[in-house]
Amino acid sequence: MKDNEIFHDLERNIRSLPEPDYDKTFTKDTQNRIHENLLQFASSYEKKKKRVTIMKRISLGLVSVAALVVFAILTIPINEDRPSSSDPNEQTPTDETIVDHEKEVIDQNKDTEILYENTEYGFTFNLPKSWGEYQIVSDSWEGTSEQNNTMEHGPIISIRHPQWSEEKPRQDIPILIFTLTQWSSLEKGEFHIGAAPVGPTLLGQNNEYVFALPARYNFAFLEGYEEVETILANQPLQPNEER
Amino acid sequence: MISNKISEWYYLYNKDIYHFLVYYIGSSDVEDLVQEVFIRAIKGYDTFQQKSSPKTWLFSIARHVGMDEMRKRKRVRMMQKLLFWEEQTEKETPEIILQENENNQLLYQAIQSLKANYRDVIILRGIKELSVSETASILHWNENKVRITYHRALKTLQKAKEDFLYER
Repeated sequence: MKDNEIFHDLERNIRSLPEPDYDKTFTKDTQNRIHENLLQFASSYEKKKKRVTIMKRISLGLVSVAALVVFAILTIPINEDRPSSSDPNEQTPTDETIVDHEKEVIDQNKDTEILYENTEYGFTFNLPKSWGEYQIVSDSWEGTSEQNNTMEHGPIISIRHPQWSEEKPRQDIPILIFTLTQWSSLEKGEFHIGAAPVGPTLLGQNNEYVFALPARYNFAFLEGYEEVETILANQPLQPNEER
Repeated sequence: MISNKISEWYYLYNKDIYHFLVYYIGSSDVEDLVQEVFIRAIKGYDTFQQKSSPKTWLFSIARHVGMDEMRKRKRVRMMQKLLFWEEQTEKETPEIILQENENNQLLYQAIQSLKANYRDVIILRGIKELSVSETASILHWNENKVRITYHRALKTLQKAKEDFLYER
């Protein structure tokens, strides 16, 4: 017999091996019992799986929160440490100090909500809120030549603090007013005002007048002189160019 | 969801799985193993790839369950021998299923004497009459290997059968 025929016979024999008698060895009852067991197991397994999934999600949430807390703990102190780490007394004149100074100037500007306007000579002057009920005091200046002859004169407008009193005078803001010619002569040294060796400080000018701060205006160090110095540092006088 | 699918598959394939396990283990007492196959299917349902057939997937599980059971029974037999216990005989062996047909019994003995991969391929291709591609999917072989191994298994089986016949 050829090999192929032998194998075909063998295959036929293998395929003819009988199937188990299911009615005897694997009855319907047995099948149904196993089926019920499987359904019970599947149901409990699904519940267990859901519980595990929920637990996993909760754990993941807790881990995330913990990670966030750790991150916050690690980062927040670092940020808080930055400003306190440098002692202000040890500060060198850096850009930061300049910024701080600028901020102060800006803050001062925020406070200057009062505007004094002088229409006669054509200028405005910014004042802090606290100067709300200021007074204007008019006076005059005299310029003397080298020969002590009175040569020139002009007005002084002084802005006076509302809390000023005879008993307790405060620092005024005096503004000397010159014509353009007078200012030119003053600069040439043709006359001088008072005995001070330095001349007045220019505050601003328009087409007709020059506005200036007298030299040593605060020599008496009256109450509030520091505040006036701060006001003047912010260039409060704005000349009216349209005159 | 899992319950519905497993229920459907159970009624489609429980007899096939039972049949396979009877010949694989060599015992008719395999109801628990059939249950174990479907329990493992429930547990591994998420890993089942829809592109493969549930039939071959279940046979693949059944083969692993069968291998585990064979190892377990081997261990028990070893223990029995070591402790001089009387070996428990099977209530109903496939020999009885084979209806005392001598030729069938001889063939069955010859199959049982084959090495594991020959036995696998003879049971799947020969007894269960699965296609080459189904057998390849269950055994995780390529189809060519299935053909070659089946051919060699038949050759070895023929020789084993003749040897058993000669011994008698």
